[in-house]
Amino acid sequence: MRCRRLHSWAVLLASAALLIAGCATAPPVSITRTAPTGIQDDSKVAVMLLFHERCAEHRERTGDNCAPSTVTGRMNDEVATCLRNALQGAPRRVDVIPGHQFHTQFLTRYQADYETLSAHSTLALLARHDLRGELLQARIGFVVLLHIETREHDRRTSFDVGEKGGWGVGRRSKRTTHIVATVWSTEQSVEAGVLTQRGEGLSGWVVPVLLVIPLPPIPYSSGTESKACRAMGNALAEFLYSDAKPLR
Amino acid sequence: MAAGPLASYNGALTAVFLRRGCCTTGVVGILLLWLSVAASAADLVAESRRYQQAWSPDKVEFVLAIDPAVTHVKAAGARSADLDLATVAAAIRDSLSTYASAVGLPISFIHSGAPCVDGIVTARIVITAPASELGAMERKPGAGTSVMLPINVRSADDCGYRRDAYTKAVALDLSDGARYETGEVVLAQAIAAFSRDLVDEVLLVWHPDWRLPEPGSRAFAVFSVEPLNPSATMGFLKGLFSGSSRRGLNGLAVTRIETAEPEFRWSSLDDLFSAQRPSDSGQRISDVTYDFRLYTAREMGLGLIPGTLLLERTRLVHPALQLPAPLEACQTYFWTVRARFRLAGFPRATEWMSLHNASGGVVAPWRFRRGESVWNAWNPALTYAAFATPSATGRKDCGR
Repeated sequence: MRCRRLHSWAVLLASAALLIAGCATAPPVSITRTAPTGIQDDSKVAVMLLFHERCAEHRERTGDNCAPSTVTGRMNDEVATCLRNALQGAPRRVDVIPGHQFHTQFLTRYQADYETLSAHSTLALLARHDLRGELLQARIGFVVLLHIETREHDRRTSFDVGEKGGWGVGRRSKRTTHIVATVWSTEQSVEAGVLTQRGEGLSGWVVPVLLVIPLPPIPYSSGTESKACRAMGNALAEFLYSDAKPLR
Repeated sequence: MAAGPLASYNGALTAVFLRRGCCTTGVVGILLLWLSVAASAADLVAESRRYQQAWSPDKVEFVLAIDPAVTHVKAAGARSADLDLATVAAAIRDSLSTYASAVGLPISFIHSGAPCVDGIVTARIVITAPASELGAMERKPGAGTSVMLPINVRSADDCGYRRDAYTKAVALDLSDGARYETGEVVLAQAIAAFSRDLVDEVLLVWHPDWRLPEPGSRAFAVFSVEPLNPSATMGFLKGLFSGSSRRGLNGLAVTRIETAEPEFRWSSLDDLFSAQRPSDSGQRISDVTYDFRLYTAREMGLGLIPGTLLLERTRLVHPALQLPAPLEACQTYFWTVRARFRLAGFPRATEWMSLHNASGGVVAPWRFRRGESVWNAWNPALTYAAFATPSATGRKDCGR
């Protein structure tokens, strides 16, 4: 009987944690279009993550150079997957290249040092005539530069009271993810638009207590980044496919 | 199993409620609230008559009486430069001139005390910003300052024009929301909004002879032109169950449309006149045009509100507009329209099309313009008609 009560209490708290986790919303992506897109069949899109804050940490730890393939390879794969999933089932066939592969193939000779991998310097590179020719030959119609910044703030201790003598104590904080995607059109050699998104959610852990008996802590996460990545992938797919033009 | 401590607590609470007759109090409270809403609704119709008059002053004069002491008040924002309020008068003068000129109103600025001229009806509006009432509030240490600048608008001593007076506080938010702007930009934006509202309120806005909508009425804007395409969707439950990315505020829901190139259509000014005004009024109307605005959507927790102004068209001759290019796929937009015309030779305009027939009663845009702190002084610019475009990749409901 006692065991069953403990079990039901743990399930209750786990459900509450999942409920909190589900509270993270993927807010609308705001779009500023500066050129038409209307991506064509058999075209390719390169999605590259700009995240140079990691570089200094990486150098300090390993002494290696900060090439995207070593620092953000996994994250580049993840964001490419978000866009690829969004394009699944779409009427035109579009291939997605992860950023680290794109960088190794086309940009390493200009940007061997990851410190220089900013949106400004990369856009200047993409505007080069010789590089544009190479990208067109490889059928890369668009390059998406992603800047993702996640910030954890408002960390505080939480105290929740439940039913039947149950309560819980834990730590929770807010996670804010801010994504800026700059889309470069290779064919037009212009910036086609900027998509921005700001997502917010909760993360932390809670120790459920039944009267005075503590139960194992339950961690929870709002999955802010993954929801934001999925929403941004969907918005990018729509942006690239759309026949929209700048209104002004 | 014995009842838990919370169950006992709830039981005790219920008992206390019942003993003290809180249910009765609650019912009486709801009844009083309903009666006050109903009474307020009757007030709205009466207040609206203020805008039904066909006034046509020969001249429009503004008197600016900004207290010099205002210039000594400085407020520093978190990331903004010091705000020098010495520019308040200049900002009001510039923004009033700009907006009045845009809507075809010739205005002039005079010193106070000038005598009225016999036989010339003059709309003389006195604007006073007394420094003694200026309030600066620091929300939290280091987060910047929010300044409230009360401005009195009075036309009681005008020369044969409509007598009116109200006080509106212009909020200069130099804290979180304004951290990317300098103090001067914040001031200019706030004063420009104030000036537009002022000209609309005392000179421009016209209302038809409207009636309170019946329960279940599909009227959207009630005393302005109505959206025809994309149609507007509203209803408390529809809004509630639409999800925060599919609803606006106050019972507004987002209409899903089938094309990214909608032709915007709305009811004409003729419809508004013929339905609600005596037929002879129409004979004094001329130069009918329409102003159109399209906004992006912005999330604000409870739902979506208009964000950036994406497109503005003025002086449209017909109540319809085809956009020059398709809109973005899977995006929500807000749109609004107002009719502009001359009534007895004087420029007038309807209210901007918005959800006036909201959940909980009629929204009174003039109460917001006049800065009245009552429940239905709701900012009508938050509930323009909303619609969402379809997916370009063929995903049903944009993958939501």
